[in-house]
Amino acid sequence: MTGRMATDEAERFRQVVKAAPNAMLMVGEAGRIDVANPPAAAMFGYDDGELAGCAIEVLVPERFRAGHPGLTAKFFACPSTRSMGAGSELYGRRRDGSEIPIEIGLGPIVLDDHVFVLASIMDVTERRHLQDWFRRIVEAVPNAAIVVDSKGFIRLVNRAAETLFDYARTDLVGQRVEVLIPEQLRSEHPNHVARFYADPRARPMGAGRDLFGRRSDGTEVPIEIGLNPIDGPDGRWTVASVIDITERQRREDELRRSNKELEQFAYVASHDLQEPLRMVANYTELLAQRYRGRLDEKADKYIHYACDGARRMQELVADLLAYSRVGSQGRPLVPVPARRPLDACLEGLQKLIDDSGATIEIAPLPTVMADEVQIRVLFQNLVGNAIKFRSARPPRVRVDARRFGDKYRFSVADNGIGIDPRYAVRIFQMFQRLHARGVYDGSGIGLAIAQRIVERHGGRIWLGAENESGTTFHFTLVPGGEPGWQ
Amino acid sequence: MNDPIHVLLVEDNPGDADLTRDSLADSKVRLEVAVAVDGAEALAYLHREPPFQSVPVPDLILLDLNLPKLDGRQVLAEIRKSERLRKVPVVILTSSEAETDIVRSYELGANCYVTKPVGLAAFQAIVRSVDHFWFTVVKLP
Repeated sequence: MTGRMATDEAERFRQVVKAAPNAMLMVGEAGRIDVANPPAAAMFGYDDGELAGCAIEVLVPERFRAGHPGLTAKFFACPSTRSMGAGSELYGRRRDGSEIPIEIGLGPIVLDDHVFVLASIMDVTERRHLQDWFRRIVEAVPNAAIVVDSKGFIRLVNRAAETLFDYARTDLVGQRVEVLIPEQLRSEHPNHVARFYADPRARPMGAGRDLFGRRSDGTEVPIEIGLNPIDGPDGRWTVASVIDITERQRREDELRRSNKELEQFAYVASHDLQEPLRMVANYTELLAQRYRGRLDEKADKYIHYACDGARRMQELVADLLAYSRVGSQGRPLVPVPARRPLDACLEGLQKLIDDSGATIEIAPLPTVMADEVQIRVLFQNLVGNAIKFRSARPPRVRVDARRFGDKYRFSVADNGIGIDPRYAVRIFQMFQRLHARGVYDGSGIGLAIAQRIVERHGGRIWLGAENESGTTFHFTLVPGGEPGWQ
Repeated sequence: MNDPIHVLLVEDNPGDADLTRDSLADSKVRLEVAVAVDGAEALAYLHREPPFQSVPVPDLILLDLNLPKLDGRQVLAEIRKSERLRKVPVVILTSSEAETDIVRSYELGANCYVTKPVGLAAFQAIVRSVDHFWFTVVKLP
């Protein structure tokens, strides 16, 4: 039978306890110390043998002393092997009154028909120190941080978390993390937790979903959460780093609204300008038709200026309308083999290609997420420009694409007149032209539209620097599923 | 001389009305062009309401879509409901290039849909080809 020994063995057992290399106490039913081995005496600052016969409470900090005999009695009423204090932090009192953090394992033993408790004591100063250190780091981060154990209980929060969720930390620690989640989402949360632990790695939470936290008064706050699993002495915990994105969302909403308004303005302005402009253009031209050569030379010149101005303004208004339509009339992005809109664009440019004797070289192109009509317009602007701004040589245009991080980078390279790198930014602005009217026609909207289209597709476009004998434009697009190159 | 061909031009923009009339002036056939400046006036003319009691049924209607009061779509629907006017060819002449307007117009029974082009020469060419096609090439009822 475990724990039951004959008298001659009782003394031997005391010797074993005394000889044990770690701190051990043997305490009798009355709460008196029977044996304190030398490591135990040393831990509490006593001489060897000095503790024998003392009440166990001498080793208990004064503030806990009153309650201790009750706990001792409870243990003896139902003795079992377990650790003391069930997870709470324990302290021992040294002879000089100082305290040390300890952990205590308890086990009952019966000697000579008397029940004793055998206590194994560990000085956890070092570990507590590390825990404090960890706690201070968590406290020091500017984001709200919440440490959750593998069962979903909150173990630690910092001041920023108290502020964000409007709780005192004492009201959070020990609660399930679901108290911080809006009620309608709570039931689903344990499933998310389970999925996280199935594949625990640092990542943002709720990829793509809008996340909300629940404050103590029940109000909800939009948040972003980063999750980091950390393995510690008590298993795998998770540090959730939480950012309040109310302000960011407000600014984004505002930006979106103001962009939309601007777009609407550009659309209305250009659309409504067209009608009166058509009148001006038609009637100045009618004047020219009917009265050219019938007034004097000056009149002819004036009419010519009026006609020319009206025609140019019609071009600008039409371009502005086309530009504003990139946003307002865009269609959803779907997987499109890039070769298809390029071929459609080349069909439209056939006459220009034939007239200029251009050679178009096309490498295999991937499938991308695209509004096909807009990608055709994009190619039309880039390939059209490549041919339009040709040098004395017969134009050669090469289109290719390659993987570029998580996107595809397309390149349209030509052997034309090239662009001074000083203008690498300016060329994408609306109505910026680098050449005098008459040398190359066009209003300078093409690259602005190209940029708008690429940005709407989540990519970017830029002037390549490496082409010494012409121009190269690069732009990136998002892959559209299967990497079918054609 | 033959009877003239009667054309009703429904157009609220006097500039476009004049330009259309002006371009039709060179027609090989003799045309009588009446102008209605909004949809309500167009229907009054077609239904011979005062002061239009004695006007002829037009041989062709040139109809703008965006008009004050009743718009061109409503005028077109009314024309196709009327026993007396149903067979009159209607040419939509508008600045709208919207696909929905084009489809809707044909659904309502337009005989053809023409957008006003940018530029005088193009406008004159369009009106002349309407003139040539409807008054020289085709047989009207």
